[in-house]
Amino acid sequence: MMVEIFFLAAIVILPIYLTTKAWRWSASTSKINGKTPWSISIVEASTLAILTSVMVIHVASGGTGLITTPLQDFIIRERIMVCAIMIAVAGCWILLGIWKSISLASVGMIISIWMATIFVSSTPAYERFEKEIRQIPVPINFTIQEQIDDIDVIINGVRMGKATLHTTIEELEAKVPPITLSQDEYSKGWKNFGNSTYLPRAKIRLDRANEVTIRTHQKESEPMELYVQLERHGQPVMISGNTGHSGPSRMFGNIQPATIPLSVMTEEWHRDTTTLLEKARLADYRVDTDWISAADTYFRFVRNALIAAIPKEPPFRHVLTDWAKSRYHLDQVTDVESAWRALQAIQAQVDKDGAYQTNSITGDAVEYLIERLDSDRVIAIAKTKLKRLSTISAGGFGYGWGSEFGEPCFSTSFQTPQTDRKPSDFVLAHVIWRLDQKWNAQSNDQDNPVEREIVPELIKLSYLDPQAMKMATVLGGSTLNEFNRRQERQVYSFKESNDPMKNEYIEGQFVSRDFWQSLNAVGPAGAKFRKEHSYQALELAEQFLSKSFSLTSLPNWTDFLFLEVEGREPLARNFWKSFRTKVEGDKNHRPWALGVLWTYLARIRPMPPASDFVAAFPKQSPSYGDFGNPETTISLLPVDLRLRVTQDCIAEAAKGKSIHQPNSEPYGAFNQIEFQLIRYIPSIPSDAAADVAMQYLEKTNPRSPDVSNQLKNQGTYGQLTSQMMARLATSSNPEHRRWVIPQIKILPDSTNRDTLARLLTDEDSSIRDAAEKVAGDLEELRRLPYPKLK
Amino acid sequence: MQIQWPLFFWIFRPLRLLTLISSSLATAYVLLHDKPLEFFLDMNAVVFVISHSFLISLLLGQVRSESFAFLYSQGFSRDLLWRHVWLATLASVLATWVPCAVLILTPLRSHFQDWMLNPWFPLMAPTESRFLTRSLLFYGMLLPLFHYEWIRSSMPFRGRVSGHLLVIAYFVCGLFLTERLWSFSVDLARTSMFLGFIAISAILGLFGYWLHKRLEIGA
Repeated sequence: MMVEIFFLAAIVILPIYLTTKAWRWSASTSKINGKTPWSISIVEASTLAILTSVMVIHVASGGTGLITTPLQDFIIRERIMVCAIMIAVAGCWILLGIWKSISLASVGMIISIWMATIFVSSTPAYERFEKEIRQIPVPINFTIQEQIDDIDVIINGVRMGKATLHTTIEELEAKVPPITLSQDEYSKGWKNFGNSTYLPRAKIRLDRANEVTIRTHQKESEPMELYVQLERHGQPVMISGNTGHSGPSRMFGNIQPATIPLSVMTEEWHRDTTTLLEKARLADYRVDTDWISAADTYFRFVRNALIAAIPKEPPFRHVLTDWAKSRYHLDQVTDVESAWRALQAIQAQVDKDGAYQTNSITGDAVEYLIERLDSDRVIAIAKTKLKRLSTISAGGFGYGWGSEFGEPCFSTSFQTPQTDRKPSDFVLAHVIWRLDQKWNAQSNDQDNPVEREIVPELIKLSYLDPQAMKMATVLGGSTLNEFNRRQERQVYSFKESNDPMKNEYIEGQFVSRDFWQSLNAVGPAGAKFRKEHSYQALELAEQFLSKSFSLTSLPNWTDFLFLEVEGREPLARNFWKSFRTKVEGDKNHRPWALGVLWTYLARIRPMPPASDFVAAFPKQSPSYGDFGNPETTISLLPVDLRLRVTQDCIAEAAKGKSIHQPNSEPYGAFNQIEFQLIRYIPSIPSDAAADVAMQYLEKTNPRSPDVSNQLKNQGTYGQLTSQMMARLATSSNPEHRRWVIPQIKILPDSTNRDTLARLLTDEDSSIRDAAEKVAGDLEELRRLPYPKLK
Repeated sequence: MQIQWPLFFWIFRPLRLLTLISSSLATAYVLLHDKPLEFFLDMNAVVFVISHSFLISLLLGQVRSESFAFLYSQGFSRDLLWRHVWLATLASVLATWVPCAVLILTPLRSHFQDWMLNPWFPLMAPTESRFLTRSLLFYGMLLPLFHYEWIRSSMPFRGRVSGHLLVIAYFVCGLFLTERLWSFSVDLARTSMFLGFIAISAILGLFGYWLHKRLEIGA
């Protein structure tokens, strides 16, 4: 940076200084004879020197403009020397040009600059410094994702310090003895907390970052094997089994540190987090400030647990909202002015954090404010900002499906600060997006203010920044439709253009950006385009599909298949056969196959009939593992189809073969797959599903002689719905009434507490006793102080 | 400043055809170009301004022509001649630039492109005003350089290469960096680089004026 500033200052200051000098000199010169005046010589020589210097800086920085990545001192020293030599050489060429031949001087100058470029920026340039580069320490950072303080890091038995631990490869090599543990030794003492597995130690394979260039990459040595253990206040802390990390690198002298994020948990922390969630349930998902201050101490744990619980228990969304309201003092929001101030406070926090996500506590706070903000003001400010920008692309910006709440979300993070773009701009983007959705829900006949004011600005930006078109596509409107309608006239093929600026890189291949944008356009223009180019669109989809090798979820490129097509059904219908064949043929990812196929079908509008979902069900499954976790897979279906599809799949499964044949333990009259599907029915949130489940339980289903006991034993597997609990509680079978009691303890919301109250007066004394015990437990839970992280 | 119209028209004479052609070309280009006009991203426009500026200075700097010798022997002061040379230059530039500005600002171009069902119009019309300012700025950077070149090469100490080397260096450097200029991540670098080029043009414009005063005309 210093070198850069020095040269830039030289470019500006030197001419001014020399001009002043030369002007004074020239003022005293009134006559010109055959000799060049000194003033002119100075001006010309200095101008040439400046221009040459600019070129040389450009060359010295490796041809990538000015220095944009930090360089090592020894590389900078060499480049300064090259600069000096180049200026001297350039001077010689200039003199030769003046006195002898301009052609010779020009050729000489070009050759010199070319040689200097090769010298400083080629692979051998870095290999010259291989030894020095290898001696540069490469930082390794061990961080705790949950941001818990006071955790000791022990690596291969050596206590290295507190997390966040900043060390280097060299320090690790010097202090840490190499050890190798067998798989059993490494994983001994593992535990499951929720759906995640935690181990007493994490195994990290760390590159030694010895490569300097691509050629020396071959000489790379074996990675280090590190076993990381954590302790807090002398007590061991468990580490998540899914530990990934970025690799350290010294490639081309550019030192990339490795950051190893460790996700932690202890039995006590898991219990406390669970207790906080249970107390929130007991409070009917409304939490007070004491709960929030306790949850703040366990911030990441509780937040993650809530987000994981929301798909099953949507009311937990209220807890997040209460938390957001408390964190950003949203109770003080009484009018548009106070709402605006709250939004500004959120923006300030987001800028401080350097990242923003719509599905977060901060995002929830913004959601709360949307209804209370002056929408005209928001739109005016967003429009002004957009007019000022030449690009909206940030350090990391994403928009897509797949958030925890099952809806599209924005996600941004800024690795490097931008002068004209801030993470908080995406808070405004969030508000704009929701306002558009709100107004569209009210009336979609006319353009709303977002579509009138914001979308045109995004389309303008898209000329230089394709990312802006993606955002415009999310918002839609007649301006975008007209743009797409006209664009479509100019698009002939999806084939890669010769102009790299006109291409988009999708699924391992370049395609015409105009074609791709038109294909993904929402609204009538996009629908017309997809109709007229359906053959090409399907051909493109075939190409993408042939390159998809890991179909564990629905790929993003399939989005256009589900968009409307003028006068026809969506392309996804035509493409279904190819897609299904490919997914079913992928033997390596069979457990994901049904989930992917059902997700595909569930996105088609109008919704395909239940028979299509059932047809995708594997008929000859050797085990239930072939369709993954049934609960997860079936929950991908629309709620109103779940029961019908599940029942039809049970019928299909009855025809299939299973490694566990009927009447073998513990599956009763059913084969294993049927059993897994039946077990899911009580957790489908509908009265009809509860009735069907009761048929199985009460043995009114002719094929269910043994299922009752098995379902009872599996009671804790799936969460029962309130409908199911109410039916169980009023069942004539005391076993069923007894069975519901522990379920109420798991989900003690107001409806289920009413059910418990009825069971407290049950005619069966043993049920009364069990109900009283649960009621006592719940009362004890209510009295329990909120646990806090010490 | 008093304008002597006969003198202006005399100096402007060699630029008539050039101005007519450049004006027609520029107007047609601005009207028909189907992409939004972005000056430094549009190499056609950049090359046009370079060529136009170079030809202006080439036609005005015919120091060895009879008409030039005649003009400089009619007793006009050098300052007056210098001012009128620049006035003729400005007239040629504006005769090219103003029709384009009218097309862009009125916005006839936008209406025409809209009528042609160009997807970018009328949306992009407001952004095109910067095409005008940037092209004018580019003229302003090049013309002092080219005018300096012909004056410098008319001096008794011109030697073999006179001001040509400067122009070559300016262009090699400028072209080499033009592509990078907008991709520099450091705003300071971008601004300083741009100011550096403007500073060089300003210096050469100033010294062009000083040398012009000392120009010796051989009949």
